Amino acid sequence: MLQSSSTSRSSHPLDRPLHRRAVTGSEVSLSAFVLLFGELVQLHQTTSSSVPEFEAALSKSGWEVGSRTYLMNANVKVREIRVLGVLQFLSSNVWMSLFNKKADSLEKSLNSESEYMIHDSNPLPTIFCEVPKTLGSFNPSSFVAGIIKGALETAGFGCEVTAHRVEEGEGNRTVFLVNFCREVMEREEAFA
Amino acid sequence: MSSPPPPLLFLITSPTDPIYTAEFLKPGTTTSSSSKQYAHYLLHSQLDIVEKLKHSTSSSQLKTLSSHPPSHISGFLPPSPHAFLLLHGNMNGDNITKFFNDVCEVFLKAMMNPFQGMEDGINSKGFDDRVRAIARRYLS
Repeated sequence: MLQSSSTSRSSHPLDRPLHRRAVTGSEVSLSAFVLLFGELVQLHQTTSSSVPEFEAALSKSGWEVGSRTYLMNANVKVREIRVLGVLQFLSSNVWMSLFNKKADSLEKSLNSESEYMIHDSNPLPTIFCEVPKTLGSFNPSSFVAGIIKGALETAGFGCEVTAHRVEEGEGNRTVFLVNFCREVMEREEAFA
Repeated sequence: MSSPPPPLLFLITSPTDPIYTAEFLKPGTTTSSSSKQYAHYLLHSQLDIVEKLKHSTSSSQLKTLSSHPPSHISGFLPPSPHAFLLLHGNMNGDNITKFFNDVCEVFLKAMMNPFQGMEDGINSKGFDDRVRAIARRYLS
């Protein structure tokens, strides 16, 4: 049941408080979220004609979520300008705000200077997702990949993010590969 | 006879376009169109500096970016890829800081609107009203 105790119907949207920290009544029930997410996935499935298109559409929805979550939680006084700083903010603050836990780990790739990996053993939006065989390689965690991309790009760090399931039978261990664009890496080098 | 004080001009810009402008006029005064154009020109001339500062400084208050007496330009960087610029006539720095902070609060809420894109102009009258109220509170 959706409760609107902290929002009054008569107040203007710009006057309502931005709940930066979880306040009793500002949290969303898992069932409400899962129902909404289920509808989102079905909407994209019916409007997409291929698996890559489906993943891209779902990722785009995630982009909007990530962008706004970043803006809600970002420190207004001190801005993130370093890659490691923004990634740590993402894997702790943004993850806490959305999923009530921190990401399992953040790693720098050994293969490439511009690649980083975020691990999550069971990303929250997709905990009830079971992809039918007919959809082949479709990964619903592309929604979360979109969230990551939206948050990072809004912070000023252009990147490409992909979600990969780590094969482990029943679990849904996922690795998000973040590849920052050349411009971002050049800026990073200027700091060194 | 001193020249009239420069207009108070506030600009919010995305990396590509301005998305919101407001001129805060004292009731009863008007500004000539040429001084308006000059004011816009001065503000936009600071955009390159702001772009550079975006990636080099982690503080959001940019303080005074430049002065062409009697006009001064102050800047602020919200967490999003936008920039706030204010053209003013040597105002108290604290007031400007508070102005930027309060406008940022309203700005972030405006960005939460699903119909508001990062690059779209902010056309909401509610936003305009609130920015003007904040300007009246700190900048008059």
